[in-house]
Amino acid sequence: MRYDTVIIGGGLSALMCGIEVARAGKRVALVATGNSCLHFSSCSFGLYNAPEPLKAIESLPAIHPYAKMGAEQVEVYATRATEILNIAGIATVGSAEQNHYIATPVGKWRECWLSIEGMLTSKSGKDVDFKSATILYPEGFLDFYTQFIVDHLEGMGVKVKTHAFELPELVIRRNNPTEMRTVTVARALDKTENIEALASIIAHQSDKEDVVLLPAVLGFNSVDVLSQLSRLADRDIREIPTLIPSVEGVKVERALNRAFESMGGVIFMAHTAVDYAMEEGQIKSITTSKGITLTADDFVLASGSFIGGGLTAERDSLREPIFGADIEPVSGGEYTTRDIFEPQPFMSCGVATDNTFKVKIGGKVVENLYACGAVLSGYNPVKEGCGAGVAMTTALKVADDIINR
Amino acid sequence: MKQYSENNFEQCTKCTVCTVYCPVAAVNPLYPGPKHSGPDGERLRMKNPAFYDQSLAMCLNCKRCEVACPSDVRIGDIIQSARIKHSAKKPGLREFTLANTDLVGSMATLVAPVVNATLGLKPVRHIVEGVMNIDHRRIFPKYAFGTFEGWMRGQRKAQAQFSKQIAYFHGCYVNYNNPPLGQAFVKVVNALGYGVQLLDKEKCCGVALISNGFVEKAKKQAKTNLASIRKAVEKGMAVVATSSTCTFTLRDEYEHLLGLDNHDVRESIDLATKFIYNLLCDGNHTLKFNPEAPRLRVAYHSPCHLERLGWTPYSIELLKLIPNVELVKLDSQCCGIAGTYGFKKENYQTSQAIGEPLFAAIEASECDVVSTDCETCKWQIEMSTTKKVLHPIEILASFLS
Amino acid sequence: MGILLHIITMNREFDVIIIGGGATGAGVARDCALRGIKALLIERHDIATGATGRNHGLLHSGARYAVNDRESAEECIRENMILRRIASHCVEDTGGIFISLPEDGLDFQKKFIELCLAAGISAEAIDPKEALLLEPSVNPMLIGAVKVPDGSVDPFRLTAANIMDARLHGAQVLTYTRVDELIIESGKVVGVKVTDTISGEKGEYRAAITVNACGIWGRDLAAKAGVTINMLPAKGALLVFGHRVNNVVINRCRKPADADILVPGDNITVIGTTSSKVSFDQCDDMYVTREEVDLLLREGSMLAPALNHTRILRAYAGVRPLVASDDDPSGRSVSRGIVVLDHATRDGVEGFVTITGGKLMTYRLMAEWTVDLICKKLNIDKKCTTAEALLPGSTSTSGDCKRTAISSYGAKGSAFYRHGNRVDNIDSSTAAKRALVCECEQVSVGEVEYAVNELKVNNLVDLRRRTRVGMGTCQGSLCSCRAAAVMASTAKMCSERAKADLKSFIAERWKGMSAVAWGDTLREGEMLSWLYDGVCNLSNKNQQE
Repeated sequence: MRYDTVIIGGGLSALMCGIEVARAGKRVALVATGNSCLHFSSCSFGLYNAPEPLKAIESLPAIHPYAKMGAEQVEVYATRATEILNIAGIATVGSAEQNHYIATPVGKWRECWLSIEGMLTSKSGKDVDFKSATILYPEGFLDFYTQFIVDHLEGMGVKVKTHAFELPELVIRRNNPTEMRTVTVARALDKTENIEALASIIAHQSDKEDVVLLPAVLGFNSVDVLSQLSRLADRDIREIPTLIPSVEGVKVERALNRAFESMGGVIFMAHTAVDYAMEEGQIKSITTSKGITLTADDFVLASGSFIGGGLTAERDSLREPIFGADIEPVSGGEYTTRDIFEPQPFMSCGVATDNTFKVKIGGKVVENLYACGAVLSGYNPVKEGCGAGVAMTTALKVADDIINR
Repeated sequence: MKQYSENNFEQCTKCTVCTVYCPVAAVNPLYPGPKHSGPDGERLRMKNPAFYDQSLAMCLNCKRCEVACPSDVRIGDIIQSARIKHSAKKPGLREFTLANTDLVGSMATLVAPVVNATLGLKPVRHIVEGVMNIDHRRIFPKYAFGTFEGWMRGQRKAQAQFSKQIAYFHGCYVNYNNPPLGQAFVKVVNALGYGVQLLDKEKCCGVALISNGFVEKAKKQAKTNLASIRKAVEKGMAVVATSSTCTFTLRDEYEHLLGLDNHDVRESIDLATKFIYNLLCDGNHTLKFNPEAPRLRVAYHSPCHLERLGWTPYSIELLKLIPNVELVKLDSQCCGIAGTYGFKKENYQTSQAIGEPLFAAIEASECDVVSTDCETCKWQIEMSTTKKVLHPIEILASFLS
Repeated sequence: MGILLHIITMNREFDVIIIGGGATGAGVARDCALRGIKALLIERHDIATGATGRNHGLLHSGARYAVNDRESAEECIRENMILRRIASHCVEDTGGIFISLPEDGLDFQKKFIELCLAAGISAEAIDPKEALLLEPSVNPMLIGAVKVPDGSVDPFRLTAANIMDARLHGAQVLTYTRVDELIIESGKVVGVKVTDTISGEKGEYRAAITVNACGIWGRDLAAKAGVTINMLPAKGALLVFGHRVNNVVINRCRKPADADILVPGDNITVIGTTSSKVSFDQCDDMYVTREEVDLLLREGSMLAPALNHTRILRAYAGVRPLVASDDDPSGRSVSRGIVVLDHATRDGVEGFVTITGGKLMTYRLMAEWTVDLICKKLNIDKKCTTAEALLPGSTSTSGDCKRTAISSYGAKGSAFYRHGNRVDNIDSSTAAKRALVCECEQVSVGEVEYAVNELKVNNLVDLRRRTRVGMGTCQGSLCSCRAAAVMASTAKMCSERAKADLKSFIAERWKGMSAVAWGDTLREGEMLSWLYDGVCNLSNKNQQE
């Protein structure tokens, strides 16, 4: 099949790039092995861990994707990413000028650039904007430990009450020992009768001046459960991230998928790119695990890191499995350290590119093969808190270059 | 091509994304979900087969888990294989009736008006429920009067005149319930310059036999089909099917669940929409459309097994090629029928609950007609919504001048 | 503090103090308790943290020793039969085979069978085809095979069951307690000075006899009494595979060598071991090297070729306490047999006994000999009953693990594997208790609570040893946060401690994974890091806090 642009990957970076290129009128196909790592995200996007991320970006080493683009361009693309999220129906708060803090599932703060509207956040990472709170959580829900949150908030001088709530549907669900996970609760809370029931529990259990806190399990299919609930219960309700699968991640992926398809994009779901053909130093086509050959003018490698399958680790080397693209830093050394909380070298490994993210194969830049997102080298998404930022800004930079080519 | 090893289940990182998209886990509180039944359970069953769990039978084999999996784990196959290997429960009369689509179909078509009338009657449907445990609310697909194969016999001469030939795997549904779809397919393919032949001997693909536990019989039929397909392929013909489920079964389930080697013919087994789209894109084939055809708003539903095949884009792109068709792509999700699963009394509620979001989306789409490549999805959608469902090939055929 | 200390001081006199909470120490404590001897066991970490928990978990038939060490072989088969009876829930009767590959020839096999039979070990030569039927994963190149009564034994369960029985019969057990000094009065060891490593509190305990059951660390303890024991730390590295590759133990039918035993244990398979000398300062921080991993994979795939493409969950290593014979001051002649040293007769130090050498298989016999010596020294006339008395969990083989409801069999069945008929003590009366914390290994909330309340669990790593939480495919990436929460609320642990514990559990999991971090193991590691360092921010990267 023939398209103008073929993007390998189905995650944040691939979708951002796909939406941008499709909205410029090109025929775009996305090739995705399965659902994406957005499912393991935390309802927030990081640009860079520093109080003023844009400033900090100016002094990054040349190998860093941000340095390749330059701080000014990062800012342009960061702004555009926010717009696209909004177009897709994902409302966010936060700015690239100054980071804010989002609560984590274990009762800590974590720096971020954008967080999805409705989350428990803090401007300073030292305090919150309320004096008393009621935490409600579904009885028997194990992916959210209330005491961690309570102690965290009390440490900041907040008066906290907790209440475990039951709903008839969840009582039935709980009989199955694997059922009390985020998505099950979220699905139940999509239903009007359950929203109403929870609203009356909230109103009953909390005081008028309390901020009400819930684990982030609102809205699996429908997006406005939080606002409905806030209205019905007449309370300021905020959500706290849970362990995975992340309901917010599901929502973000679905919203971006819809936006992409509504702009004419096509998703080849459950396809893994396994082979490619070259002609005169350019990529001519790729072939997928389902035996489909996709021809295009431009190709984008947005296949993610190891979890996503964009990179593979073998006994002695790291590989980019589709094109055999060059890997930076050159593999062969140890790519792990024994302490998991120390920076892991493999995290900053990825494909080598020029400054416009054109991929290098055998030392040569391929003019119509771009890379963006987690498959790139030169940064540590966990330690620098820049996974989402790099994914989105590099995707938009690549999209721009493809559109203007 | 990616090689699957027996250790495929080990690629699972336990991320649980499959369970997010499992239609059964969404509505059946007893089902532990594909991750737990599949890769988790497989590991336990290796220690001791006693860890086989009856809840595996709740899986409707839609393979949505496999589509969702970021690690390429064949979760649905793991579950179905475990069922085949460990289940001690013997299939009964109902499973026999539902599974033997060709035998029952061939008896029914002879007396179609009677059968349709009887299966339509309420008291009879209650008897069917009582004896066979098929839900009385279920509307049976109507049986046609006269089979597609019978019609094709009269076509032999006309079809032989084409220099290029393909073999058509029509499936039980086209043969017994919907010969017009087969006729539409012949019309389109003829317009592209190909004659259509039947296979030497076509048996039901066996998808219903597999899911109802008749594995040995499924194997026997699969062997007959593969022999016929081989003959056709040796003559240089592609073997094309209109049904996405038949195509999926012939290509993938024969090897994965029945353990039959089909690699020599696998690449020659094609789906109608893909076959036709590829012809239209090769620069040598065109179709003439009727410029006066009225506008038609079509909502496309992607069937589970077509998603697993990964060929949904072909049906979509083919429909997009038809002038005057305005296409709406529905969010990809299971309709709930899953072949014979939804026919069983104990599954009726689950089946309808699974389909609910899809039915709502269809009603909200303001479409004139729904299109899909799967016959069982068609039954389910027609029974549960106000819309008529057509195969993309039927729509294509109706727009030809 | 004053009152508390007083109460504890009143209980500070014992007949015997046992230092070391491995299988041997636990066995000695149990044997003492069953004979009515008032015993205190002191362990600086958790039970089974040393060599006990760092081996194959092979229930030796003794066949491995039949050719070179008749005495060990006979001990093994006797203890093998005893353990099947007294510790039925810790043992799995997998059976074992010794395979001959073309390069091994069949000469060794002949002698092997002959000497097995002479040692009382049933050994039956079977056809290679039959061997493949019996164990389909075995190397199809094999030219011969011998069936022997090998099995697998879970050392954590075995040690925990001995500890539990000892406590049920009046013994006291202190974990996370470090022995700082032996109290020596007029040339006689009369007790110990200790520090509680969690609270930092110090204390003293006195007893007529102190038993050194510290394994390789016994050399240092003996030095505190001015006694020299010549020990050689021998490191053995092993690999854990993601699932059961084999259901029958596979050994090589040749002179014992590196990496020639493949043991299925619960839901995994273990290959081992290497053997190399290490220095004493390495004993507390074992790490498996790249060369060891290579060797284990190379040799392991000779037993079962499937290992080449099976996910490796982690690597670990233990230290065998090899003891140099007293009559060989060079230390070159090493005994693998049981060594009981009465330091009164050997070194003129009264009240001090060392039990070392031996192997997991003979822990009970080692305990019997030690307590026989104690009885002699204390003039107690009580016979050993540990070979007959069934361990808790093994007192009945039925247990209540019927298929009660859909999907609960997995959890019940798995819990029965772990706790034997004590599974009935696990609360599964409500949906909340039946909910699964760890899905890979099927550990329920009720089981975690049971372990925390009854099995002396101080942290998540201890919990893992009792329940297999985090020992499955995901190595804790999905379950450790849940486990931390259930444990914190059951043990009324403060959040800060629970979070610190969660962090060290994740670190401990990764340590074992990092040596084999490629393929899917690296992917799992990336997820672990992403979730706990990223999403949860356990390492607190913010400059603000």
